[in-house]
Amino acid sequence: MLSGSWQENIAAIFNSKVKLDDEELAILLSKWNRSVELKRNEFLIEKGQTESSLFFVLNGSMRIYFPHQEDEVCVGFAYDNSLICSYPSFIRNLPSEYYIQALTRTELIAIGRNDFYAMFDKFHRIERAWRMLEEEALLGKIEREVEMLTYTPEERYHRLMQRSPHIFQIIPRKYIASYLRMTPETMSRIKPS
Amino acid sequence: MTSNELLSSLEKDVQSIIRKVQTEFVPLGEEMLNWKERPDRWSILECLEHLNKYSQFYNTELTKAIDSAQRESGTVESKSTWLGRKFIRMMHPDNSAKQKTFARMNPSQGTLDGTTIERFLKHQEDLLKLIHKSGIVNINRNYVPVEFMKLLKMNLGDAFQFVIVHERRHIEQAGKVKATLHMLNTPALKI
Repeated sequence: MLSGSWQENIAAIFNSKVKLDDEELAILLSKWNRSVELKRNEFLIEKGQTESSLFFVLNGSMRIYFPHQEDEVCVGFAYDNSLICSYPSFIRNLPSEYYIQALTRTELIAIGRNDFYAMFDKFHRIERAWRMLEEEALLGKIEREVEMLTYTPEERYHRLMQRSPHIFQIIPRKYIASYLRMTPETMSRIKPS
Repeated sequence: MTSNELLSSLEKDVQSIIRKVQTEFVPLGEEMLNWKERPDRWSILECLEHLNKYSQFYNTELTKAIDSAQRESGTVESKSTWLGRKFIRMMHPDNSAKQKTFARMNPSQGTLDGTTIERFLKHQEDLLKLIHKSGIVNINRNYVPVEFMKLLKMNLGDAFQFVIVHERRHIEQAGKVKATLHMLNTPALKI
């Protein structure tokens, strides 16, 4: 594996949960065989399409959003070294409710849904690592739900600033405001702490 | 380049290192400062602690060399030796080849704390003072031993450049570690 290569970066994500051996790593990495390149504003997936791949972001930035009445609600972001897919669609093999859109030119590499799940029959430690990545994502969602229900907009802003300061450098502020469920005007009135 | 030009450009380098550490690393909490992407990589504090170990040696040796030097007024053309050039090139941040770290310079020993940064900044203040003091000595002479091969010596100008490109190298490395900090706090899988 080349140092700093995408293979090494994907390996590091799975290894951070379960330390995989050489055979497991070779299997895991062998099936990422489709490159995707999106221009700014192009979609990785649109509502109604079914997600057939899991993606790794080589470089770039994206937002996950769902349309609601006239509005679009941001529910997540992805950037360098993220794994991303329209998750409900990916696990249930049903049409996506979400859009995933590139905010800058974005390069990704993909593993097919079938290839990904086929590994699990034989390689339980890869499956375990994936389960732990899902758990981590779930904890993030629970934390966010609690924040939405209990904290003021200002507190939500500061918590995000503390937890993920890099977001503010990568993602346009109007999308961060949407993610925090406030208007851009409200967000611009919050004083940085 | 004259010795005065060299010294003032090195001074600027050190000041920009100080600025970068103060603005980019000082505000981070200890958990972030100690975080590493993988066990075999360095954390931000380990990068700085490694530089502290270097400073302990070179600031002392630079002080000795300057204090024992004869005063010479007037600026001279600064000259690198073949050996000096070789070491400076080896440590330059643009040289992406990995350099082996000697065990005694390896900082990976347990958790480091905020004093690592305080000591680092103190070393930089001392280094700035040494650069100032060198204005009245001949930087093409007054030799400083190389830490990992003490029989070899670099002239003062080369020694300053060597120390400072080495610092830039690891400050850049620490900046790259900072760029991966989001992995500490946010799930890798975005759903």
